Amino acid sequence: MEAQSLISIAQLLIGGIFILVLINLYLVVKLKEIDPFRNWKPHEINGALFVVFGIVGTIAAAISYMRWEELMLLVKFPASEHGEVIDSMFWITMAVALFVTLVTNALLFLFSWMYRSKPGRRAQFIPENNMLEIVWTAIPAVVLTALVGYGAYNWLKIFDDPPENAIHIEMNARQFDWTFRYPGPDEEFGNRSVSYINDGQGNTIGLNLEDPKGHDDIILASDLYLPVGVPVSFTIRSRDVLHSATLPHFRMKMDAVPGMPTNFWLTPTLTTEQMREETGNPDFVYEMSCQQICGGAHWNMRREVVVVTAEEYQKWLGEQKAFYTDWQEKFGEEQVPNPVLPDPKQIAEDPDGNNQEISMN
Amino acid sequence: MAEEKQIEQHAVEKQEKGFHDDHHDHDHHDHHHGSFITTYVFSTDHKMIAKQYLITGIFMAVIGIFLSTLFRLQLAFPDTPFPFLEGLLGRWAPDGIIDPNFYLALVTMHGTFMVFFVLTAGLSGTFSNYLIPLQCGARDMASPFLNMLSYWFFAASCVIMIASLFVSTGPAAGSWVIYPPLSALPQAIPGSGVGMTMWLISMTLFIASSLMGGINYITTVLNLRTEGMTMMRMPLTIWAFFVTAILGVLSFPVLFSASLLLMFDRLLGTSFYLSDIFIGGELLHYSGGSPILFQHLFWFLGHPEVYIVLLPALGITSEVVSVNARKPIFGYKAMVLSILGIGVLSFIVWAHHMFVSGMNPFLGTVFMIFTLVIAVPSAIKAFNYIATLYKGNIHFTPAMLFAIGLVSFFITGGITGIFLGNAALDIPLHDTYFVTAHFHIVMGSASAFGLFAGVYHWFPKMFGRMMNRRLGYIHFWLTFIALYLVFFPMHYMGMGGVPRHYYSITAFNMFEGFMDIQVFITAAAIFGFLAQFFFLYNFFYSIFYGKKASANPWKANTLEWTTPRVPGHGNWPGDIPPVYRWPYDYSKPGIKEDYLPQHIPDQEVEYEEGYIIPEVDPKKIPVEIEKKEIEEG
Amino acid sequence: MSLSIQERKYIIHPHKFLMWLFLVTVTMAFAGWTSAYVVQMSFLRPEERIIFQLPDLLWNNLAVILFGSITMQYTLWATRRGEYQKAWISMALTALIGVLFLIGQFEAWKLVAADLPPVDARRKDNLIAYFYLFVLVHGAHIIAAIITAAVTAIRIYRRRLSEVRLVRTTELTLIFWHFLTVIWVYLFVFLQVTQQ
Ligand code: HEA
Ligand code: HEA
Ligand code: CUA
Ligand SMILES: [Cu+2]
Repeated sequence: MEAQSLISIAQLLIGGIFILVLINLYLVVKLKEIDPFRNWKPHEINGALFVVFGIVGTIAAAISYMRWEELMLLVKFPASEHGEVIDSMFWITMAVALFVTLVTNALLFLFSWMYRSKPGRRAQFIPENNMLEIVWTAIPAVVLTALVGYGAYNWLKIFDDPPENAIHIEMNARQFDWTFRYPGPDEEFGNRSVSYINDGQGNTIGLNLEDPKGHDDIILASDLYLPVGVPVSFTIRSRDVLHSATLPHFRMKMDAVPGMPTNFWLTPTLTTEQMREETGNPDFVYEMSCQQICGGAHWNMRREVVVVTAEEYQKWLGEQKAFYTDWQEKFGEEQVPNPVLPDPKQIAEDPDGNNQEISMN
Repeated sequence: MAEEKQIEQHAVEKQEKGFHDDHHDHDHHDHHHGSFITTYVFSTDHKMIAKQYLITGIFMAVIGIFLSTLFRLQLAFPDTPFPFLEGLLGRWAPDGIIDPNFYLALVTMHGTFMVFFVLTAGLSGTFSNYLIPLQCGARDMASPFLNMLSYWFFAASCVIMIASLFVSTGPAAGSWVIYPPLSALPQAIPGSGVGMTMWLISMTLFIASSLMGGINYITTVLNLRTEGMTMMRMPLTIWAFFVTAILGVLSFPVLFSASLLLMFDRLLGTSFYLSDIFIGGELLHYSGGSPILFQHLFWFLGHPEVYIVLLPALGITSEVVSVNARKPIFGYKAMVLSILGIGVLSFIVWAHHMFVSGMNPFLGTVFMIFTLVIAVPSAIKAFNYIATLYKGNIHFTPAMLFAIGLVSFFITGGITGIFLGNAALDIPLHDTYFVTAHFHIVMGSASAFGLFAGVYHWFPKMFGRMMNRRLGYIHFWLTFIALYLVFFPMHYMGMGGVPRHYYSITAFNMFEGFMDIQVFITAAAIFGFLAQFFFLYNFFYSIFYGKKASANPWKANTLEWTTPRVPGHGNWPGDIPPVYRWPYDYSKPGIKEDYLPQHIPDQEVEYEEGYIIPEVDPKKIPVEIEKKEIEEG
Repeated sequence: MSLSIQERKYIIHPHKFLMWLFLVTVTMAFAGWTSAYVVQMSFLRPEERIIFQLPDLLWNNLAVILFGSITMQYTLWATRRGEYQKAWISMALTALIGVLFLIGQFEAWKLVAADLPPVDARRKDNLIAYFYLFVLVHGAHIIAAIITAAVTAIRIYRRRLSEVRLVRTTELTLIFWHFLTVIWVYLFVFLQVTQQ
């Protein structure tokens, strides 16, 4: 069914119920004598309603799930290696959760119906049962231990050091966009510091222009390019408030924290092309979003992510112009690479800018 | 006559109680016929203070829910102008479209109102105040004066928070968790200017208020129980309030520490939380601080806080379920132990909110283990509620409906916590609507239902009149359905990766498809909001015109029902009844009625005909005998 | 069988219990601040930590506040024995000692501030902010304690309250005062240790 009409029906239903209820209110308050509901037995009705609610609710949940299933990108088509692991964990947990939720809710509603008050009924005096108590402490404990064990193992693996052959990319967040830095041929990043920032000259990430290592750095405020099958290690930074570098398809999320670089690494498994085939959507693009509240345009910190083969990636990278070269052409004559600083040597330079470990706790 | 004398004597006691001498004046008015001001405004009577908390809480809830419908409109119809919004919000909604900064402000205020003002103060404040003295058998709180102060600090903090909605730069807008630097820098978002300062001041007053409340509750529970009321004979409500108060006393001061440092950063230019910031075209001087530090301090409060919100609701449920199923609560000891377990564990799980904040991953593992452990005591509670219904004789009062609804929500919402608590799964799910769904179901729905259950259950004692049942049923079913309709689909959005705090999801191809869910949720939310008017009408109408209640309309065992229809100052006109048994002797075999109040001495118990009456040593308070009986029966 | 607050036998009087709980909350706040300091230190690389010189004056202040605790203890002793004359004088003396302590702290603050390298934007100087913070928040509590002590002194002087209540009031003041001494000792040791 069309979503729009489904929703209209739901709204009509809701509206209908509401009007009925208002009529009921009128009856209760004003016309007590002719009230048709006067003789309804509350215990019967409420007990039955719980059961009905349980059944209808479960069916509605199943139907609505199927209706929106295709959009649930967080649990379908993982595009990175660790993403596949996370997804399998998700579905295992989901199986446990569904089982527990359905069984306990069903018991709750059924008992409500079965043991509703009736004339002459007396409850049975059962204050405790230690055996039962132990059983239902032990079962969740065992299940949870299993979940924790599997989870902890994967979690530590995800945050293990990246493999040797990983390429490095730096993500720089600010209000409200992302800038990516690729190290260029020397595979090393130049120094940077917030105090070198010069937005007028395009140095938005504060590259130290006097550092030769940085002269080949490629700094782009546009789509993020990633090679498929190659581990990519990200260093994530922010220059103003907290942001969060989120690549949902790759199951990646890591906060960008001003004053403290964070890290995450992953290996993409599907190129954009492959994903288009997989999803059957010819217009598919990977997207990157910001998922930590960061101000008015938080909802709009979008970048596209392009995953290509390793060769295409190298080719693309080769075509990009280094930031320093660009800067030289435009502002070279002015010859003030870095703004004058109060005390250059104390600056929060980052000697281990490329380093993988998360530096703090 | 006796009553008169009692009260006089009580006034004398009260003088003795005054913490400082200067309160003597105050206590003098606390007679029978106090003036309007001392009876209704600056009252030191715990029952009046409870009602003040309740009414204030309802007021704040109405505002909070209303704010949520406003931003829901924006989420469902991002580009549709609603001219009435311009009328309502002025320049925050030019041409009827809400400003993005103000959207965040609305969300922040919604979260703050709901968590702190409605479900912390409204829930604990109302029911701890009302029930602790009544159910423990005390004339009042340990320090009634402190109790009154606590309410007025709370009232002041409400006023400041509401006032902050009207300042020109808007109220605080950095989410209810106020992470710096966003909350520290007015350059980053307008709400971090005056609005944020007012937020901090308001919260400081709030903290003071809940600390005064908390230490009072603890002292009263420990020191002022009536004779025979051993700890293991306390109703589970009291246990829940007691542990809640301990959590509050240990965690709220740390929130104060955190906000004081934030205040310093904002006003004095220190760098506790800030470092290396370039914003608004200039380099700021902050250096060496760490935003992560704030998160640790905040969540050290923040996580216990969510149990501060939940535990009283669970306590109320225990009582309501037991009374209305006419059965003892299943596994009293297990319930007490799990409350204590949740209390202890809640202090060592806080960093599960920070798995992807840049915190050390090893630390993440530790917190993940504790987080999942906390599901075990929760599971015990859930199962015990269900077992209490088994073979019961369930009376569906409105309170009972809400209690059953609470259990359903608690399970459904708690289960999603298991996903989030698993650090690896939290990587994709963090800060998506999956989290929103989780906490709205377990907090916004379950705890809110606890509040409702409590109101419906104790309304007859509070106001001496009954609430209309049928309206209660309508209210329950509409709300129950509406809340599931609002919050269940949010899981789908979460599994689709839709982030929180998004003004609109239209900027991304991957989220756009959820627009129809958004519309649906908004419709259901407005529906749910409207449904609350059945409650509001019922509540205020019944205060004045409800049917007169009897002294013990639910045939319950606990002490509060031994007071007169409307208990006066001092609660019991005569002596405080001593207690002879635990509060859950419902449908006990051999007993004539299906309930056996705590204060009936064993010699006076009426047995069924033909039942062999157990021998009782009149001097002994029969803890042991009871146990034997339970085992036999 | 009415059980009200004064008829019962308590192991600990409710008002004292309230006081202890209040002290628990204050302790938690200070625990928050000091652990913030520890966490913050761990964030900084060693070369970024500026170790500042703690002035020797702090030792004097320590002696002063410890002496205050002694006079306070003496007050309680005197009150218990009904020697109100001695009691109110030593209580007033304690309040004065509190003022002296505050003055000393203020001087120490100025010394620390003067000792610092000139402010510059890039220095990671937030550790020093903790010194100011500790002195400030502890000082705020001391002010409250001085007021309490003064009020109690007046009460003992006027002797309007029953003996039991006088003793209890004195005890409450004493608990608070000793507690602040303990807190300062803790902060002092904490600062000394972390500045090594
Ligand atoms: C009343 C409030 C409340 C309660 C009780 C809980 C309960 C739990 N919460 Fe929740 N939580 C919040 C309120 C609450 N939470 C809020 C407000 C936030 C968001 C804050 C923000 O960022 O704004 C949040 C966020 C939050 C996060 C962070 C998510 C993120 O930001 O990425 C996590 C992660 O671990 C989490 C976990 C849990 C767990 C494991 C429980 C457990 O205690 C749940 C235990 C209960 C059950 C498990 C159900 C019953 C058990 C059974 C039926 C037995 C069988 C079960 C098994 C065998 C599995 N919560
Ligand atoms: C108690 C907590 C509570 C409650 C009840 C609600 C109720 C609702 N919430 Fe709220 N919400 C929060 C706590 C709560 N919320 C928090 C903490 C956040 C995070 C804020 C942040 O990130 O900063 C949030 C955020 C939040 C968002 C996310 C916004 C974003 O991230 O962009 C949304 C979106 O739809 C939303 C919607 C709603 C709706 C539609 C309702 C309601 O309209 C549903 C209808 C509710 C009812 C019908 C009954 C409620 C009854 C009571 C509370 C009891 C009152 C009774 C007495 C006093 C007797 N809420
Ligand atoms: Cu950047 Cu949110
Ligand atoms: Cu939590």
